[in-house]
Amino acid sequence: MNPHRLSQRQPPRTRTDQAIRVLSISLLTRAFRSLASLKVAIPLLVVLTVITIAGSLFPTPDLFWSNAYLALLGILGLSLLLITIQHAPMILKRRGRNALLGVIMTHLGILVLIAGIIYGGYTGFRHEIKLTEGDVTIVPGLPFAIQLDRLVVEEYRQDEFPTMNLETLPSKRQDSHIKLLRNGNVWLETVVAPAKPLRVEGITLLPALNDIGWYFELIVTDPLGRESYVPVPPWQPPLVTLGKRQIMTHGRMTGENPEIEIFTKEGEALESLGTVRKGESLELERYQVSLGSVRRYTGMQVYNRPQEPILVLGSILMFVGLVWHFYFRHRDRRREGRGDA
Amino acid sequence: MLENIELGLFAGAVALYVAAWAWHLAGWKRTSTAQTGVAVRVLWVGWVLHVGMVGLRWYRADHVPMLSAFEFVTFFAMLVIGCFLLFAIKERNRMLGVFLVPVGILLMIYAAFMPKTVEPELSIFKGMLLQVHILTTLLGYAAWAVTFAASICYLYLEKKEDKNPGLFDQMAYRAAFFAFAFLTLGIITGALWGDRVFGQLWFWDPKETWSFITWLIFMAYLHARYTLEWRGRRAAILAIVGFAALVFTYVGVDFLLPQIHGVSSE
Repeated sequence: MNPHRLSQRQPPRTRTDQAIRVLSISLLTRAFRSLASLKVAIPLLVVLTVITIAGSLFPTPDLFWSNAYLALLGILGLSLLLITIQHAPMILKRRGRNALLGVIMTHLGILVLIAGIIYGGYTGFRHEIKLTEGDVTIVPGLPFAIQLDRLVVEEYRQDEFPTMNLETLPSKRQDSHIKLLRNGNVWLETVVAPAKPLRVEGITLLPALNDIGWYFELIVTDPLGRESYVPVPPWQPPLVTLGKRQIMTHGRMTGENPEIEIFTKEGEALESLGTVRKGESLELERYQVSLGSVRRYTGMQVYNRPQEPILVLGSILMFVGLVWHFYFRHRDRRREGRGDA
Repeated sequence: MLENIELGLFAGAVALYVAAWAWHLAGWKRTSTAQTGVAVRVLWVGWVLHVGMVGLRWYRADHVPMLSAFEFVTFFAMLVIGCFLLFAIKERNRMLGVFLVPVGILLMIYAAFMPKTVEPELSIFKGMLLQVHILTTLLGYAAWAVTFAASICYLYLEKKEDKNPGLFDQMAYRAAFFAFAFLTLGIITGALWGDRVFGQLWFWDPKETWSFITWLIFMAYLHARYTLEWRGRRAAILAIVGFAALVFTYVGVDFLLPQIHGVSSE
């Protein structure tokens, strides 16, 4: 087939097509020029500031994580990028370009930061899990399983913090002795704590600061003498059926003594049926209820942060750029005998 | 014993700051450089006492004295007065003290009402990163306090039709540069510390949000000067707005908005 003939068969461009083409190019050029101008960047900055102030004073759920807010940040970043690109050749030719290189560096730093945030948003993962002493936890997608051997917790005493509310304080010591298992074998054994995360193969394991507590177990013996073990995690207390009655449980520590209070729902109100302590049992509907093992648990964040080197690079560029700019601008102005730095 | 010495140094520093300010005011009204010279010398003595107090606190607490609310505020006041003394030497201009020294005095008075007990360092506060975060943020705040005072000086002199208010305009700009650079570093190191402790770089906690807002205003100030050629009155007003945002970030947020910052000031 002759390509020349094929092209001849295509209908000639109408004036409308041409007008649309010209108009779209013109619109794109205009959009580019607008975004690359300070006349747009500064109002964008003002709008961003006003929205951030409003969002802080009148909290709106997830405003700062919303697509609209992130889009505004993105447009501001794009505007900065275009301004930097547009001005860079001109800046490099000008006198005193040393100082202006600092400006480019700073803006590049902001762009790298924004790029890092966006990249991290798409490629990172985060899981919030609970680890109970003795249990092995498998997190989907992780190349290892996590076993919490022991959680050593030490609380502050009142005499250490006479002016502070101890309930709001994180623990003095909160060491999680963990093992990482691969193919059923221990691969790594270490201790992690809040502010002392473990970083392994690009994955971070960070114990939660305040999410620690006790994981109870309830032993229920039916009228035939058969035992069953019911876990009572505090973050999800179970409903247990005893004969015709459903009970709810709430485990707590009173000093060093663990106990589980048992409730039932009577009408709209919760009615306490009694408390089970170590070595005691409670009879309900011909079932015997007693306290089983009591273990510590800790919350833990498991995440990767592929954008971290990008963020560090952006921060360094920004800071160095600022210092660079200030130093050279000041020096150049002094040489010119002007006070304006 | 050491606690009493520390309180004595604190009281001595405040008294000398107040005296220096009174001298400054008097010297300024009479346009007497000799009097403002004395004021700066008195301020130096007060500042040495203040540094001594902070050093003693460091020794007693066995950690960098920037963690409790009292330590934070006194450290901030020390940096504000230190910034003024630095500018007083470098720029040979002492009028700034009329507006900057009261910022330091107000901070010290604010600190006087706070619990002064030395408390142990929380395990999560250990490490260099948090110290760098607090120090750089405070340096940023202190430098902006200089921008603020210089802007007020500018507006005052402009009203008086002084021949050379531009000196203060330039001083404000230079200090703003340092403020912006340090605040940037402070925000970044704070985010990295938050990541280490809470597993997240940024929470949009009110303190963080307002730091970001303050940073945006500082950035707007520098851009307005640099690209829109804002000088004098307009730039001075924007600098004052920036200082108001800074004060709100530091004090207003603590009282008005719930937040995760300031564990130690509970």
